[in-house]
Amino acid sequence: MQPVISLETISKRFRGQVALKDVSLDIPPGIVFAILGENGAGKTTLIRILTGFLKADQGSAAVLGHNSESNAMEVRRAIGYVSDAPALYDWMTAEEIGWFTAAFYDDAFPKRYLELTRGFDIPVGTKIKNLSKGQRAKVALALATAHDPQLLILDEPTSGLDPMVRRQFLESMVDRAAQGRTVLLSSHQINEVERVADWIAILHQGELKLVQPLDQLKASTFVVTASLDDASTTAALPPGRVLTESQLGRQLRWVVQDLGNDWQSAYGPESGVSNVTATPATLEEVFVAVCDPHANRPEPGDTLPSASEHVLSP
Amino acid sequence: MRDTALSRLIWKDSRTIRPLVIAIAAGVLGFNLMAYVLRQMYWQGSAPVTDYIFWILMPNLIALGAPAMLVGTEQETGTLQWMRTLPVSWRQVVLSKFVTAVGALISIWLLSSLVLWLLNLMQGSSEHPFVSDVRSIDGILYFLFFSFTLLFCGFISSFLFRSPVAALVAVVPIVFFLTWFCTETARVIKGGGTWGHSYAIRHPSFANWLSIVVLGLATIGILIAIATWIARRRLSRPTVSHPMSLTRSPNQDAFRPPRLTSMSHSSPMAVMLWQQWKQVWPYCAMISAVNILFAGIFLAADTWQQRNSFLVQLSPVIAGLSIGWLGCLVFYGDGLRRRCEYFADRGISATLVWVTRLLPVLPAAMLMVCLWWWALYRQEMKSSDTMILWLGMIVMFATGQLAAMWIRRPTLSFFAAPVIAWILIVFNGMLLLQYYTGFTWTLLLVAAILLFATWRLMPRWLEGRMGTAFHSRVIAYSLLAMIIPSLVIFPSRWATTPQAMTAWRLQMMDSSNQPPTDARRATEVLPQAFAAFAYFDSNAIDSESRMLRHSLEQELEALRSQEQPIIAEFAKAGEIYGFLNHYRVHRASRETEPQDEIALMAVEVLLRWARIVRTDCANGIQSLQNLCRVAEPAEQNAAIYLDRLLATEETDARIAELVELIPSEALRRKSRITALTNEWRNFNASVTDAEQEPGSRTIISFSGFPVLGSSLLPFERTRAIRFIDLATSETLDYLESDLKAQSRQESDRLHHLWNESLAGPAVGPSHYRIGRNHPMMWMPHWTSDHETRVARLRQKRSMATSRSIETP
Repeated sequence: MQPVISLETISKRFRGQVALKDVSLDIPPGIVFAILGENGAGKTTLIRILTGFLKADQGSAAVLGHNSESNAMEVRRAIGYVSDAPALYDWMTAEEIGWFTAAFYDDAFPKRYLELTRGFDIPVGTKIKNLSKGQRAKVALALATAHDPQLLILDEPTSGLDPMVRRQFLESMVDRAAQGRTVLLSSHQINEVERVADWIAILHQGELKLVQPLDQLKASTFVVTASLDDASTTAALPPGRVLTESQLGRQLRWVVQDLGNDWQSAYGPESGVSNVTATPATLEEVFVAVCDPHANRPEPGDTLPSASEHVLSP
Repeated sequence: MRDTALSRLIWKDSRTIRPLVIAIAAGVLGFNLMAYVLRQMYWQGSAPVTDYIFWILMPNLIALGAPAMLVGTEQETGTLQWMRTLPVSWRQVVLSKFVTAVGALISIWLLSSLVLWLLNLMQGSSEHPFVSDVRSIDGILYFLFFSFTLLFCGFISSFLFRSPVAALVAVVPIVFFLTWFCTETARVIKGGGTWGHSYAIRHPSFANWLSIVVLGLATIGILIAIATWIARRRLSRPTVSHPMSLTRSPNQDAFRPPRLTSMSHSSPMAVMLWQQWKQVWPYCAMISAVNILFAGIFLAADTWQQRNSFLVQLSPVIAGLSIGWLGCLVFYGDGLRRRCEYFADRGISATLVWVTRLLPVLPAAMLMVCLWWWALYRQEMKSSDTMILWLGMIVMFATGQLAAMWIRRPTLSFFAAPVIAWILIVFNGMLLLQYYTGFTWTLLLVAAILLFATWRLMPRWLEGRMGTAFHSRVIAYSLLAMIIPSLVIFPSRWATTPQAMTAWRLQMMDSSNQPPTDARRATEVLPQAFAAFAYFDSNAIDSESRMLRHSLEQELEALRSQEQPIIAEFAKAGEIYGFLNHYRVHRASRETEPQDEIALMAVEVLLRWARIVRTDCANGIQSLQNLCRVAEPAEQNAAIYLDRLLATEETDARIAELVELIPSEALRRKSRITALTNEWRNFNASVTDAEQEPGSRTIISFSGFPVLGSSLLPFERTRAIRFIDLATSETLDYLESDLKAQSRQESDRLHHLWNESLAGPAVGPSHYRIGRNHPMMWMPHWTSDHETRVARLRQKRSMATSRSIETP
């Protein structure tokens, strides 16, 4: 299946500072794809490269089959895009800006726009500058989706919005995915991403750390906890990919991906470890495990937990 | 606590206007340095008028800009609203802004004065009516008063209007009318007449001065009070929306479902034009209204005195400023809070955006430009300087739209645009177009490049890619716009420079081909023999006729009796031409018998002058300049008069004698050829001498026309010399063959060649030069028309003589 978005070894630096490093990614159609990352992780840079506003130092990006650099205008015409602070002519009313924007799209735009604004309860005849922040965000979303784009890109669209508006936003994303459209969502609101996303990518300091379907990620990632009989006891790492390890007193905690079925066999009575349990990890736990700069990430083969947590360079 | 709050506010306001202060301080230094260098290079010895213009102009830019930045920019960025949330009183906020602005204004006045003082030290001060007026106590007080009036009118306007642009536009008419009112009042106090009726101002008394100072201070005090009152309303009271300004408040409709209305589908071009028009029309209307107001003032000035009044003189400047502001409007609406990203987000064509930004504003600007074309034409201002001013308005518009795209703070572009445009216009206008008046149209190329620049930069602007690459491009386009007239003018001048006539020059320099020169001394020709025209007062005709008759009798006696008389020792050419003109008009309707005699005496004087100068020229001892300024006009005017006289009256022996005095065709030809050849040789000798003295500032003339100056570019020097070669060569050929009629192609070509040689840009700025049709440039008038007239006169004379013999 032709990917909607395709990134190949994208790198970008700003004044010597790495913003993106060798990011490669293919996003299939018909899903809600969420990019998670802390502030400054490179999410907006990635989106600006995708939409052709920024030129990558290295690599190539394609959206809906168009090269983002050479066919930026085609990309922008084909997609819907809502930034965290959408630029709107605030002296227009919601209807006026809909009528105005309709001129750039197909004939079905006005009808869909009116349906959307009605659904979003946007007041009639009020200038955008007199609308609330949530209402303005809804107008921006309606403008970005009324032409029914194959791909909707939302760059932290719900920041600063109230729960009611957020809910409407998230529902509209799920609706679009159900209609076979693709939604690329950038956010650090983990709870709402967990509710709507089909796929997750975690971007940390410009590097793509993880790309996986959310269900698969949640099914394969566990938090393993164990109690040490003695604080100085050495415990073996659980089988699988240990994302982080932490110790608090005699309590040990690992976030493990692809935990083997026989993981408990390593912790027999002679292991000096007791009360070993594994619970499915939440997305937040995975995110923190991947992105926390202070986390201890043991290499495969390590068996000695550190006595206290220390900072690892990411 | 209060003091701390105030000092922090002043710190904040100082930081806000710091870019403006730095830019203007740099302007004070930069512009004065530029003017100093130009004066050293081109205008040495001229009065330092520009220094005084900068001295006045730069502080007033602060006065205009500070309120707009301190109030308008804070309004745009929302910090003025934020200030209202802090526990700080509106008084402190306002006081801080006033103190900061006054401090900045005084600082720039001091800096500007210091620079002026240094310039005066370096180049010495020279007298000029403008400089004397400005430097007087009267002038200094006046300009200080104007600055503070402008500053506080700016604050009133800024606190009154929420839009910084509206505030800026509104302050222009307010301040100028207020200043005009105060100036008129001060003039009346000084004793210069009543309102609207002035007469000579007598020396004002101390009481007059005291009244004027008190009036000025009171005016500024009232302006501060008004500004404070309006600021209080703006900063301390809740915002009240005008009932007409919003159809519904947000609360009323916040949760009401919208009506499902039908929505038409228009073309992108139509909706974008609508969108641009909606966001610019109020400002467009305001700026156009200000422009029309000042055009009206300019057109209403009928008398010379009115045309020199403060308001009328400034009207075209304000027109240029406001047309520049119209240019700023092109991208103003989309530049605010970077709303233009809306288009970038949707992939809308940059060309479509550019065209639709320009189209709604361009007609208004062009209408204003046409209005000013008509106004300048109507006021009979048709010089090349006026053309530069008019085309400069188009450049102002183009600069405005570039500045609005370039500068991130939309309000700042309204100040930057006039400065950038001023540099472009002054650089091209003063250095080039005043010399190359035929290339004034290249200012249109300047405007075209600036428009092209915004079209090319549009994608970057829309996408917010306004980094170093963007700024570099803007600067590159601006520099290209600055030099484009030079890129057109110099290659064009170089390409149209005639080929070197080496063989012809060698032949002319050959001593065996040189005309003979008489050992006798040339007849002295006084300057009052030069062709001129003096008004002959018909109301005092008897006394003037008597005086003229007396001088003509003395002149004739000297001319008839002395072997080497002095030409114009008693009579003046101007009076003679004035009298003959008056006599020609009135002789049919008046008792003119005494004047008939004077006219005949005048004609005789002219013919004798012509004969003497021509003979000297033919002998190689008189200059081409005297031939052209004395002999040619004297002879031709005398011939025209005699021709008329013979056509209407029975001739007599006296007239026949006068016809006999007209120099022969052979003398005419020889005098012209010899004088021209000698002039060419003298000119080339001067050129050779100058080349042997590098650094010499001598101006080399040809037939009295200054042709080669020290500041001339080398290729222009070559061009001038080659054109003189070509013109001289073709004129000599022309004189050797049969002369052609005035309207013939050959004559037109001579006109062109001599104009290029003697009245072209190589000589200097247009106002220094002698006009193309100046009577001094006589060579192209050496046509067969005069020969035909002389031949006709001789024929009439012989017929008259034969008649007188037949009827004794």
